[in-house]
Formats: sequence, C-alpha cells, structure tokens
Amino acid sequence: MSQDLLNLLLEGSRDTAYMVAMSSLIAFAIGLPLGVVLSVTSPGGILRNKPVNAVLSLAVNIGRSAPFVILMIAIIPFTRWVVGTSIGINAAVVPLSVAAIPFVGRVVETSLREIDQGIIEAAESMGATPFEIIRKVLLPEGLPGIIGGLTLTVINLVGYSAMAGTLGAGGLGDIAVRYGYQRFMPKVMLATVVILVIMVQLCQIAGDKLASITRHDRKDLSD
Amino acid sequence: MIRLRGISKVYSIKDAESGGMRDFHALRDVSLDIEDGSIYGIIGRSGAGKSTLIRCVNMLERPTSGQVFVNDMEMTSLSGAELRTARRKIGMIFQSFNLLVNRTVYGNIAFPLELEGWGKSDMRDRVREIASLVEIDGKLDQYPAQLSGGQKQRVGIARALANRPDVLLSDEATSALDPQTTKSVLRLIRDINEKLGLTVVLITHEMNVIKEICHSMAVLESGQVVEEGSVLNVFTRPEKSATKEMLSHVIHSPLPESFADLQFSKAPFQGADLTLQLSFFGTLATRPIISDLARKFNVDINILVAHIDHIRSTPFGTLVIQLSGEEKEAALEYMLDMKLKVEVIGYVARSVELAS
Ligand SMILES: Nc1ncnc2c1ncn2[C@@H]1O[C@H](COP(=O)(O)OP(=O)(O)O)[C@@H](O)[C@H]1O
Ligand SMILES: [Mg+2]
Repeated sequence: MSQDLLNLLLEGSRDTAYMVAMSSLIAFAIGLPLGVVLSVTSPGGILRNKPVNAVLSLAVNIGRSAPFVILMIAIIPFTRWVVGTSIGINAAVVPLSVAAIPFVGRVVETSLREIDQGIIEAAESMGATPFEIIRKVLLPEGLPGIIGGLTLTVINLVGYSAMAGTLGAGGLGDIAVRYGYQRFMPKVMLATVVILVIMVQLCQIAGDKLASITRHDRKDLSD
Repeated sequence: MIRLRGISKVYSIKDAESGGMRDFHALRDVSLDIEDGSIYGIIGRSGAGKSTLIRCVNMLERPTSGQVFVNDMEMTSLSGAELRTARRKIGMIFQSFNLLVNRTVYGNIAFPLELEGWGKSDMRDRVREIASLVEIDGKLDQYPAQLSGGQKQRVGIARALANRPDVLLSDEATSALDPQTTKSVLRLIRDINEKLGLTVVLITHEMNVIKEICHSMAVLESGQVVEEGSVLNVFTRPEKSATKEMLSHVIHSPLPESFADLQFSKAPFQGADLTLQLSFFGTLATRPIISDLARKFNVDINILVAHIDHIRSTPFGTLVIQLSGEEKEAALEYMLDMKLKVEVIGYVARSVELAS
C-alpha cells in the first residue's frame, strides 16, 4: 500500500474519530438531561408529570424510529442553518448528534429506572430535594448503566459515521466508497473495515472498564 | 409525642371484576398517641396497612384524611421545604435497607449530613461517632454489597440517626434477617432508644419483635386499630381474636393438646379437679406460689403447663395447674387476693395425665 493511501487512511480515521467524538459529546450533553427528565416525569418518578413525559417520549420515539439515512437527508436545512454547509465532517456531526440524542435519552432513562425505588424513598425520607435526589442518588447509582449505554451510543455512532461518510461527510466511510468501491481497491476496503472494527473494540473495552470501576453492587468487585 | 388523629388512606384501585376503578381503604380512622422516648410497636398481618401507616408519619404517604402531629408539628399541613426540614428530624429504616449501592458505608452515613450542609471535618467526626455507636466503624470504606444483612441494617440505622432525629421509624427492619441477627439489631434499637431517648415507632408482623423491645403496641387489622395498649396488658389480656392468634406463636398455648377433648364444667361437682391458668409478671413471677398454696391449704397440686418468658426484660409466666382436695376454692380465693391473674378453665372429672 502506497504512502499516499496510508496517509489517506490516517486522515480518514482522524475524521471519523472527530465526527464520533463531537457527536457523542453533543448527544451526551443533551441526551443525559433528556433521559433524566424522562425518568423523573414518568409515572412513579419524583417529579411525575404526564404531559411533559408524553411529549418528550413521543419526540424520542420519532427520533429513534427514523432510519439514519432518511434523518440525515431530512434535516439538511437544519444542518445548513447550524454549520453553513451540508457537506464535510462538521456538517455530519449535526445529523449524527440528532440521531444519537434520543438514543442516549432512552438509555439514561432505562438505567435510572433500574434503581431501586426504595433507595429514592430513603433519600426522600431524609429530606432530599428532587434536585439532590437527581444529583446524589439517581446519577451516581445509575452511573454504571449510563456508561454502558453511552458506550453503545459511541459504537453506534462509529457505524453511523461511516454511513454519513458515504453521503459526502468524509472519514473512513467516504474512503471505503470512493477507493474500495468505486475504484475497486479491495485492500483499501478491507483496511477501512479493520480500522472500524478496532475502533469499536477499543470503545467497548474502555466502556466496560469504566463501567466496572464505577460499579459497586457486587461482592467481588471491591474497588 | 406523635399523635395520629383519624388517619384514613384511600387508594383508587382497579376492580378485578368490573375492570373499573374503586376505592380501597388501606387505613380507616386510625388514631394513636405515641409517648416521647417509648418504643411503639404496630403489628398486623401482611396487607393490614402497617407500611401505609408508618409512611403517613413522615408524609412519604399523604393520608386522605386526618392529621399527623410529630412534636406538635402538624406534618399533614407541611409541604416543600418545610416538610423536608421536618423529615430531617425523623429517621427511617427499611426492610430492604435501601442503602446507596455506589457509596461506601461512610458515604451512606454521611448522606443526610451532606443534605444538611455539614462541613467536611464535622461530618467525618459525626460519621465516626455514629458508626461506632452501631458498631460498624471497621467497615467505613466498604460498599454495601460487601456487608451481611445485619451490618447493612446497622448502616441503615447509623444513617437514620446521623443528624440526631427525635424519632426513628422502622418498617419491618428485621424482617429480612435471620433470628440471631434480628435479636442483635433489636438490641441495638433498644440501646439507642435508652441512650439517646428517641422515640421509636416500629412495624412488624412478628410478635417476637414486639415482645423483645416494645413498651406499647397496637394491633392493626384491615386498616383499623383493633387493640392498643402497653405490651404487658395486651399480652396478658388480649381481647381480639386477631391478637390472640398472633400471640399464640410466641406464648405457649395454655392447654396441652391432649386437653382439647375434655369437657370442662364451670360448676363444681363431686370428685372434680379444678383447672386454673395463672399468668404472672414482674416480681410475682419470682414468688413461690405453688409451695405457698401447698403449705396453706389442704390441696394437691398438679402442674400441667409451666412456662416463663420475657416481655422486654420483665418475666412473664404462664402456669396451668390442677387442684384437688377439700380446700381448692379457698386456695382460689387466696390467689385472687394476691392479685394473681387467674383464669378458671373449669372443673373436670377425671384426673388427667400430664401431657408429654
Ligand atoms: N399505592 C397503592 N395503591 C393501591 N393499593 C395500595 C398501595 N399501597 C398499598 N396498597 C394496599 O394497601 C394495603 C396495605 O398495604 P401496606 O400498608 O403495604 O400493608 P402492610 O405493610 O401491612 O403489609 C394492601 O392491601 C396494599 O395492596
Ligand atoms: Mg409492609
């Protein structure tokens, strides 16, 4: 493989990593509070609120049921409005984030729902405010689950970013299509796939490690 | 002083038959007075409304009607910040401990102090102090998953007591523990009650728990208080069948099974023996009643059942005896004069064998 191609792959990897990292950050930043609100407003939650919960839940479901390719095309006007263009890696971050936000929201909500209701009640009995319960009970107790869900989000985003790449976003997906497919260079195709697999694997390992460090609900994991 | 005045709690539940909603009365007009510094037990079967009742004290559950006063503060009138402040002076412990899984023992005990905004060093001192009171000071860096049930409940107790509440509410705190551990946790609650003078309200479905540590008690059945009073009184003079049934597990049945078929007559007749049940507690339990009777009266005494138990630390005995001979009625008079609690089971024809 020539030096040029290697450089190309390196650049593609960097672009992919950038897209994934940026969209993950944005998705966490918006999805985390969204998940918390979904959880606390649900029936039985500490701030139960039917209308708010119903509206958010519907929005999340719509966001999650739209196939990524369609979502990406559908929000092009929005993307243009935000970054000024609809092509390139910065433009790709917009649909990637939009696709991941509802996913993160649900993942966080699910992690919080698994917390024993009794623990929340104990905090209430000690006079904790709803905000204190969120900060000192829900988030720390749900943390291992949230980390697991965020890992899944990052991994999904690696896949989505490759898909976005085929639609002009750049990154490894773009390389795979232009060189591997259109110019029929199977080695390049293979190389992009291998790099993507390695990226996913690294995310998984890092996520699992982080989750296990924060998890204390088992006897054998004492640290 | 905790005063409950006419507490009712109505849940709207789905009717199994019609599929519509209907009212379900979990509590009906419950009124109780709980003295400062006492250990008050509320007993009832599963579903009687015990948890609902105790949760009405700190407003985890809001009564549908009625008033709750804790130290002259009307809890039922509070909400928001006022309610949260009041709750800080009411500790609560739970059957399933409800400790924060991802916090150490230290972090769990410190939790209520963090809520109150304690400074770091005061907090550390207080956590250490209270941890040593409940004898969990060696485990401060461990996580709840690494503790036994009894240790978890000790942490729960420490957490509940950390910011010096006046009241401790216990919702079946020992129900998930084995008998040995139950005893040690009950002893701890009792020590705390004596040392700190705080009022304890505990609910349980086990008479043994009441017997072990409570001063006063109430029996809850289908959301209503059916019997109430000092534990000694309720134990020695249970009125309701629900109470008697629950007591039968802790107090031995007054008559051996082999007596079940016998015909007891209320009136004396020729050749009949008089069967009596004596209950006694406190200092009377240590008096030599039987030898007294034998010396003073011309009677033969056959002991059928003898059983001594303790309510808290008061000895509490049950004795079933059979008197034969000339002076059995005189002996009965004598026992009544001594303020012994005597129940005449009846006259029975043949002299029965002692049940094995
Ligand atoms: N939130 C609720 N909605 C409907 N019914 C309830 C609710 N909470 C408790 N109940 C009912 O009220 C009754 C008393 O419950 P509870 O106080 O938990 O009983 P206990 O603690 O004595 O076992 C039960 O029949 C229970 O099913
Ligand atoms: Mg209960």
